[in-house]
Amino acid sequence: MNKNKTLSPVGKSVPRIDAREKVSGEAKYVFDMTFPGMLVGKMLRSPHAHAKILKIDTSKALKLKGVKAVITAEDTLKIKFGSNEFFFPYTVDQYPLEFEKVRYIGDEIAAVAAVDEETAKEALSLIEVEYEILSAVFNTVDAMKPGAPQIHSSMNNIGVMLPVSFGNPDKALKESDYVREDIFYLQSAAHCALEPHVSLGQYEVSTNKITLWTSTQAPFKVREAMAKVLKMATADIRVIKLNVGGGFGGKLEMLPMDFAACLLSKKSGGLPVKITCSREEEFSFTRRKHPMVYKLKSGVKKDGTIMAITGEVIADGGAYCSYGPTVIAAAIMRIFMVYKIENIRLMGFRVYTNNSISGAIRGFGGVQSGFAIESHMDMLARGIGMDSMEFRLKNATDPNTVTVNKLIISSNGLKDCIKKVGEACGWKEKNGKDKTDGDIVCGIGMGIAADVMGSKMYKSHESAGSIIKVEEDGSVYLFTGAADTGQGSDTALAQIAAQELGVAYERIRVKAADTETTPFDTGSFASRVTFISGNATKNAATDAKKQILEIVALELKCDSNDFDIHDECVVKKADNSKIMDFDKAIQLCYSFDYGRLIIGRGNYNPKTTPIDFRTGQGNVSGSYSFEAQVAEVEVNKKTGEVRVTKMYDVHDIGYPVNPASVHGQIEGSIVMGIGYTLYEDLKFDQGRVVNPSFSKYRLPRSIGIPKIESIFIETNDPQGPFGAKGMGESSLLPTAAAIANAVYDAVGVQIKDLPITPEKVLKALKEKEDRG
Amino acid sequence: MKNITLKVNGKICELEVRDSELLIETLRERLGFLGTKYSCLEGDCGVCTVIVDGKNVLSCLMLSADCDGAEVLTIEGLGKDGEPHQLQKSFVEKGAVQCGFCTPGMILAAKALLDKNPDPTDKEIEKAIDGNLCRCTGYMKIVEAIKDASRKIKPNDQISISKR
Amino acid sequence: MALLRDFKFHSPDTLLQALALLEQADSPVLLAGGTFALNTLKKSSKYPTDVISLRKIPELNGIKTQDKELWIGPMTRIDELIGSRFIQDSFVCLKEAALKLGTTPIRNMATIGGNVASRFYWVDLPAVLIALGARLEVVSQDGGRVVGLYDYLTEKKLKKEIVSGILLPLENRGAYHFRHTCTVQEVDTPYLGLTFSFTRGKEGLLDVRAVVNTTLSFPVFLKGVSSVLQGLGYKEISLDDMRKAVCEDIKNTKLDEYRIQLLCVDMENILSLLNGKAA
Repeated sequence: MNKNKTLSPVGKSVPRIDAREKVSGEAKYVFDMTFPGMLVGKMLRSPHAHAKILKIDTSKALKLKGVKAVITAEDTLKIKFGSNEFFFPYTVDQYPLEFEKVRYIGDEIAAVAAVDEETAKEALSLIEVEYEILSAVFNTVDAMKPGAPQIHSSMNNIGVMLPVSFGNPDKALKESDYVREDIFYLQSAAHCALEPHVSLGQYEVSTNKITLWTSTQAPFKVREAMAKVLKMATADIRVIKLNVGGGFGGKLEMLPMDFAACLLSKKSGGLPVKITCSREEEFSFTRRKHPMVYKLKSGVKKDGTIMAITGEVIADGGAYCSYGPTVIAAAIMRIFMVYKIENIRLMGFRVYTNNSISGAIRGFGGVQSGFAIESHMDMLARGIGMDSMEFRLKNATDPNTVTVNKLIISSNGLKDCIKKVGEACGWKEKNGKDKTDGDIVCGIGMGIAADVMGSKMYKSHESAGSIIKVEEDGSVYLFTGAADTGQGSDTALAQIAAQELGVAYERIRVKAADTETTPFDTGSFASRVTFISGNATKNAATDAKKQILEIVALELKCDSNDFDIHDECVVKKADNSKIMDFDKAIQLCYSFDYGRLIIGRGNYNPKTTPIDFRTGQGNVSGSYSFEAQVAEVEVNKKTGEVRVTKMYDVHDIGYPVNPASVHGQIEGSIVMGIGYTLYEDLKFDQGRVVNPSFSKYRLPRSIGIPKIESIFIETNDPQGPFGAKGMGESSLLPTAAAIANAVYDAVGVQIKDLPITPEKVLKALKEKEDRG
Repeated sequence: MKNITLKVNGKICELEVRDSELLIETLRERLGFLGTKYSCLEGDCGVCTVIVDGKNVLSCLMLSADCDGAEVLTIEGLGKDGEPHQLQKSFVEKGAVQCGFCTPGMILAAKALLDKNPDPTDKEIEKAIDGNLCRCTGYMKIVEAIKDASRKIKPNDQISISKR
Repeated sequence: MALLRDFKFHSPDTLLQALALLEQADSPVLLAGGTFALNTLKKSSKYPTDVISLRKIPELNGIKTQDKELWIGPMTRIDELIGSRFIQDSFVCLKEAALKLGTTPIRNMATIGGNVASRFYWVDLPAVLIALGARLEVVSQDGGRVVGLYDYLTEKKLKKEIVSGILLPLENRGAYHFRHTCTVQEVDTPYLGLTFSFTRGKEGLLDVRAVVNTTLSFPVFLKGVSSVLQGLGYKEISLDDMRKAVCEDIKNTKLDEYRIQLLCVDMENILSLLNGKAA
């Protein structure tokens, strides 16, 4: 055990609980796992974008030496799965293995397990599939045309249609002093977690049980989907997460490979089967960001008051729905957290195409809407000659308010964030000023955002549980279902547990994300873990502490309410005087009344209300986080090249449980945002990803990363554990617009089409010049 | 098959490898050094970085047979007698580790840098890790950690692996 | 896991042995640094029977002057090239281009010989070397020859040859290298690279060479630019002349509008650098 003792760890940048094993190379990922007799599994994927499956013949593959199992849909129960089943049952549209039709290049139709990679590959090539090619559509415009190829049964291929509608936007537009219309184009992008998707399934013949080790952000969601498609009890499916090499939304649902690994294991008599995605498969066949066209028409008064916002979003959903409804909802509903709006009408459409499946990715539609809305806001401010920071301050939401769609916002540091970021960057001195040095022009731009922590869009509840188990010698285990994928949630939860229990951080051992041994938790998404799992953990620690103090009180014949535990000691609340060591108290418990074991349990379900998806009304999250961001850029007028030179981020994070981790999330988000804004672009040609490698799909590298100044606003949220809010995604939301607005500040062109490539900037500059 | 000798993490290993075997396969599968990861297998991501004869290289683009006689350092060989190397300590302390998948390669790239340039500037650090992708951290804390380690490493700790 | 399918691996100690192996094998591949060859193998449908490593052949290593030329051994790694005094002193432009090649680990593995012999046109070095007047020594079992790099790259590839040396004339040549990447990141493939080299006469520029490399094709000589500038005094060159010359050359290239603009910007910069020199 570490010799250090970090007492009262909440608010301190303690080293991550998993950092030691990660720097030593000992940290195990599913990627690293092997078992004796383990087979290599591979998926057979459709080479066609849209086709009827006429016949699948696996006989030749089965005869190949070394092949242990081949599965097709005929080996399955043909039950569909989807990720938004509770509120959107009609979006459950994918079979684990398809048998009627394939809908994109990569659609899974069969899987093999063999003794080695080579044999598995050969077996795939021996499976004979007869297709009847159907005509396909690769963009939303064609897909919605009458007579377009029908991908599922939905009308005009519109898989999801969601509105938000409040007030009287038409009337308000008429009453506006300035109205403008803009169209924004957002490209697709890939998650690029460095650990690919890996599934290792093992079937136990004697008990008919399945164990699945998978690189996932949400083991309980994977288990739920598996139980559904296999018609098994959840207790017979054990999903285990080890260290996960990044997720970013890409590992949030069961993939056919998870299912296939388990079924192949069953078919091969219980031998473990491991399926690992290649980098090309990662790019082409897992999940990707929804490309969107975001149209906005809004009106403002001369004094800057936003009168009305109207518009529509059309997203290319690809072949299946995945997390589509939530992404669309997020794309049209995030605005309520940010701006005071009475009159609004936004329509969101998610359209099926024969491209690969669009799904969840860090920001959940918020990156796309953030770019559109925050660029649009700058242009509205400009239209009335108002400073865009003043404009945002005027319209930003306030603390302790209920929005028009019934979001209950308690703590809200948005306006402080805007003011603070303005001070930090020297907004007044820099904005709108000419800063030219030869061909290089500097510019500055702002974007603001808000985020949920958890989301009432998946289930009837958002519960998470924690268990605190105190051993005889005072060692403490925390059992949580939360899934740390690298963001540091295990560390934050250990800090919260230690703080509440009154012991050193180093005492806590976290056992997480094993569906058999840890309490339920929906997973790592919607920036929910610190807030929801954090509260559950705090409650578990409170419960454990209560049990300890009750026994101490019985022993000392006092009232347990007079005691507390601080700095590893039981103390008297009144004068903080020390009663006994924590270890001593635990010994007392274990010997008291012939043994009392200390097992604390905690549960948390945020105070939310279900959303009425006909209007967008409902309190989706237990609390909300806010931020303002500023980008400084250099634009080369002659080449159109844009370099981000500095980023400022001021964030209402409630209270930072681990400041270093919080800064790390912000920095990581911003750099990811810069990549998406300037060059990341997952490109398709007739449904095939044309850049499925790191040499063609470029990620930000270490050179030329701007300095990022990140500042916290502490609003100490009353709902949050020790005042903390979630914040894993929101720093990504305003980045693109902040950069685009900075480019405008520099050279006077507003790029509305991401990514902001040098070519686009140059073209816009030329058009501006031609206009005079 | 080819008989080769590698010195891995200070230990001489006599191995029989397939002609087409990549160094990453030998390290992970024959020798069990799982700290070395792979992700793209095309030389773009850097998570398979190891140090061969003092240079950070990509073990997914090297044939083991072609490395006969080489001295290889993997993440498992860093640090002495259970005491982590200063780079490992600094990565822990400065919050430079998130998902950890890039970490071993990143640390080894940094080690190769510090061995030849004990006092690098931020720019030199950025350049030295330009072959190592990280999707989590945005690199800031990694650069900070390497800088921190460079300040804390005493000159006589810098025993670089001798040249072939 | 067997990431690569089987082949026979050879590691000859001499060039002669290597040539013999090359002759005997059905479908051989030469292995230098491995960063191209092994990468290509993983995806290739035409798979080699034999892989011949050149690592242990002493004749292919080193950098030395001979007559009025610099001889660079093809197995010189990019990081060694960058570190070489000869290169630092006489070929700054080559050093700069080498520093931007790939990433640090790639530079630690890749060799200059692999870089030119792989005929992989995404890299900057061949264009830079062409502009500097590089010639290659090439050997086969039938004997040796010396060939200009540009000619080598554009001729039909002869299977049974090994590049055994790269020759750079040691002359008083000025050179500039400009590079634009696809993503604004330094570490990326070149959208457009331009190497511009010249010798100085009393009156102005002599023997001007402008070579462009892109991700689209082999390096392209800008003949128009070269002829427009030939013999001109530094101050006599106008931007218009340059633009015209560039546009003339573009007919021979596949450059799109944006790349042409980048080229014009680079030429403009070269002009101001040259004028600065003259002043």
